[in-house]
Amino acid sequence: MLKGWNGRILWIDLSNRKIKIHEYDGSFAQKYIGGRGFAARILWDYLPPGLDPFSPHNLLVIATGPITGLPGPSTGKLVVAAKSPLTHGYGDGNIGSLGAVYMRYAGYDALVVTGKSEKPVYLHIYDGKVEFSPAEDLWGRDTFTSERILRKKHGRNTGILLIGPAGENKVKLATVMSQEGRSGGRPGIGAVMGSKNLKAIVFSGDRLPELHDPEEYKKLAAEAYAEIKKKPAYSFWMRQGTMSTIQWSQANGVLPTYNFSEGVFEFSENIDGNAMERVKKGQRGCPNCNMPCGNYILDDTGEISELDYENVAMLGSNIGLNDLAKIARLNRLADMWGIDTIGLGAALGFAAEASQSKIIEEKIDFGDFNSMLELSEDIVYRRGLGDLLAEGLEHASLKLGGDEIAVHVKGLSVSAYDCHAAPAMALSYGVSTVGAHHKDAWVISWEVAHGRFEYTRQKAFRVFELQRIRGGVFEMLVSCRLPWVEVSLELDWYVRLFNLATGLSWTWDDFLIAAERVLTLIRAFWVREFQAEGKGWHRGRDYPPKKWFTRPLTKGPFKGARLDIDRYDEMLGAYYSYVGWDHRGIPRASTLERLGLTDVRKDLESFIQLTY
Amino acid sequence: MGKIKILYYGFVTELVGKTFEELDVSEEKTYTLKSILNPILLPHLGRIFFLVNDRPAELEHPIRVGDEVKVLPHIGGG
Repeated sequence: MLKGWNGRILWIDLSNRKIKIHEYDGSFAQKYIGGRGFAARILWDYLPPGLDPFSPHNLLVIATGPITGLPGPSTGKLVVAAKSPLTHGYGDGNIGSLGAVYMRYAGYDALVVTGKSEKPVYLHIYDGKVEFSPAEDLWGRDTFTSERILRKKHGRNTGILLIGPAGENKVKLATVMSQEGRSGGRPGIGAVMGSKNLKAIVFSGDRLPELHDPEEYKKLAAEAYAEIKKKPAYSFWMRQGTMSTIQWSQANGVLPTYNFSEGVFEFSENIDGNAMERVKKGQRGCPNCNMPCGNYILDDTGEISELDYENVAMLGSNIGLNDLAKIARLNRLADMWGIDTIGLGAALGFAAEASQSKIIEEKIDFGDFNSMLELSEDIVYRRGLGDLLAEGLEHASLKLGGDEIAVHVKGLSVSAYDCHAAPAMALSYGVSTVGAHHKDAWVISWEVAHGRFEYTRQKAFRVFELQRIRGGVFEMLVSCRLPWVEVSLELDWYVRLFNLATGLSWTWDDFLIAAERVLTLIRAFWVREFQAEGKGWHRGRDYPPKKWFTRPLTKGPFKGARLDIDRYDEMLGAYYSYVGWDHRGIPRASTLERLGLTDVRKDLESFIQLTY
Repeated sequence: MGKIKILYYGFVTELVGKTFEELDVSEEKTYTLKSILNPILLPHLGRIFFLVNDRPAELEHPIRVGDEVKVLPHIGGG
């Protein structure tokens, strides 16, 4: 009998409205832990290779971990995953949501949705039951309005995941949303939900998973919360949250500016954490969190908008906007539409530079709020140039001929750190599990502190090390990494909470092995899908955007800086040697064996010859 | 005499109670980063780092008139 885990995964087929419950055992739980680990394994096992991501057979996986929803620092999160329509590889994201808590309380650790409903539908999952309800009246409505309607109907003690017009229109930047500001699934997971005509999922329940030692767990969780509040960085964090990073990035020349052309923004003081503090109205966060990061202000129309670093950098400096209230409006609308704020900022920045360079005829100026707003709407509702950008940066730039100014990796746009003078961070983006995302190996702080211009094996190792912790352990548990990264809550707290919940006696090394297994499994998935689709896999797929190699910075402390392609490639090779992948970036057969993925080795060999 | 500028970021501003300061120093004396730092920062070394003229610096790094020092927190990046 498992403790900590519910041991049950709910499968729902929307095409025939059938459900089944898959019970799993301790060996599966210990090998993949939960969250991203469960999602990656389910996609590997059950997704037909080479599948069109908008096929009804794509799997929408929503997964939690063994401490999700339990009292404990920032444990109210879940992972949403699918084969990405944006990248055609593995795609996922995490969301802080009561959905995570109530899915666990409903008795499940994960939900897999397959098939496609004939008409718009939403699901209510509770007490071992699944209700399919018509969602025609919600279809077309924004995420805030829809969630309010559903909450009124199903009560306060529910967790709701849903999509907005972007997901409905299969915009490949669409995310899954919750609680009017929580967003996840940058690689178009909201579009997968839309392709299934699934508007929302409502979870409710009251059954806490059985724990190994509930009393000691509760005690330790309370101590962990208290420890967070004692940390020296806590008080400042509560004032500014991630918004202080604007000033930090400006100081270090990594603030994305004018479509990642520069690392400093001349108006950064208008949009930084201090500017936010002057107009801050409050803050809110995810369930079970005592250091909420969602600072909210009123936008220029008087509506509440929740800001964080990535949103403000990408919808601010990256598109030349220097008015925080206007940035807040774009940000709020993006959340209401259910579109990735990072991807939207990247698309708008690309369009402005393409306009400047006469790659497109449309006039879109950096800093021009009205044209940015209009283009955003066009993306969400797929009109004109917006329709092309809704397909993603890679597709749009190849079609228009602006490949060199499209800032993405594997189709996923780069999040808010410029890497002209940050080779380790560029590597982190290059080899991230979902395309260019900061969540896996956020190495830039370490790199700035240790030297910007070196291309070393040590940097490659540091990327691998951080990937295992951030992209591995935290994404599998599923728990927010911010208590660790922002206020220095020691990692050992998570090991102790896990052991008290499950009754296991794991060490930190056990977590790292599981993390390495899942990161390699995800890479195997990418290779399998690209081979099956006939695109092929090669080392160049792990390269960062061309722009960072070819167009140097023109201002700031690192004026003239750009990446060196040969030295980057050398560092990439060092990374491959640490993770046990071959010169093509494909897991070696021996690595798959070592990580207990023999069956994956056998399957993968039918798509490509492996190196031993 | 000359000046050294020190800029503070993030939670470091709360520790020292300011966002920047300028120190008057002698051109004839030799300074290190440690010798000019507010000692209140020393217990927090694992959580903060230093740049001198935008290059990483350890505590024994020599400091000269005209240098700009940044004291930054290690942050986590969302």
